[in-house]
Amino acid sequence: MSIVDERDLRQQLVGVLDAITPPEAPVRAAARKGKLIQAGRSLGIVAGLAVVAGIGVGTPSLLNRAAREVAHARPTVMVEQNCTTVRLGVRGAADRPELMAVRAEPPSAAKSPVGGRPAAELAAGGCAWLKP
Amino acid sequence: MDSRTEAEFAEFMRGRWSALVRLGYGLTGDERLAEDLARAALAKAYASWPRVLRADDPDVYLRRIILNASLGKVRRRRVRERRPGDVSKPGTAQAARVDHDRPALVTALMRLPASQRSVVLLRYWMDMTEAQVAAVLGCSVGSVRSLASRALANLRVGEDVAEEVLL
Repeated sequence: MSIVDERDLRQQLVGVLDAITPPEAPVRAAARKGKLIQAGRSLGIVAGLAVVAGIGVGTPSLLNRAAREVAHARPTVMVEQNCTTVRLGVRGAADRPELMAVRAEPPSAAKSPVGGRPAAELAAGGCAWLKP
Repeated sequence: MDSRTEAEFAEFMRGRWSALVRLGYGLTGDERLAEDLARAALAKAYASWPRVLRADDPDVYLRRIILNASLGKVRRRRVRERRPGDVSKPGTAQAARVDHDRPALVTALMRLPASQRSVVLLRYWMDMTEAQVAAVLGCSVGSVRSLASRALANLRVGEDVAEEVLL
């Protein structure tokens, strides 16, 4: 084999490849395989949608469960009426670090009752101790 | 697909079958593999028939399918051939017989990298312009030009090496 130039390569390629005589076109086999490919694609789309739907349904319920678990893990709050020694905010007690002193503020206290007592009571000047 | 579209596809397939098998043979050097490739390319065309019809040039779409499929097939065949204990691995009597039965030009084509082989077939056998080849391969015209010139150089070097071996 010797290739002189592009024209020569062209002629040789035509000689070699045009000598191939393929059998009759397998139209039915190709169509059958094509239908399988189509079915596979449709199945893939359905599976993908199912996964997306599963994530869409599953994620909020998982998040809700986690949130419920956090809510259940709330510390006990003990409330003492007419406490005037504690300032606004949250502080640790020096002698009993496991306790925290809380002075409830009216806006937040009005929203959520603490430790089973109405928030209004805390707003009236009560002190709350968080017991872990 | 309705019966009219089926008939349309059958006509499309019959018109391109021979050229696709020949292109497949040029790409793989194996007639049976070439037929598999052409059938697989046409099956993919069937599965995406509306897209094939929408394409500016359905033949470009089809050639791209067969070129991509050939890369996969050749890669899989090479992996199979490298498996220990496989009778068809290179250097064995069977592989040598396949090489011996092939025309020298096809053997030389098989030694080229896939991209150069594709350019040789599209540019010099299918008589496509550099721009058309670039569209099929999804690269620039400059790349096609450089691949074609490297392929020609490699074919000439291959031929020199073959002559040296004979001497």
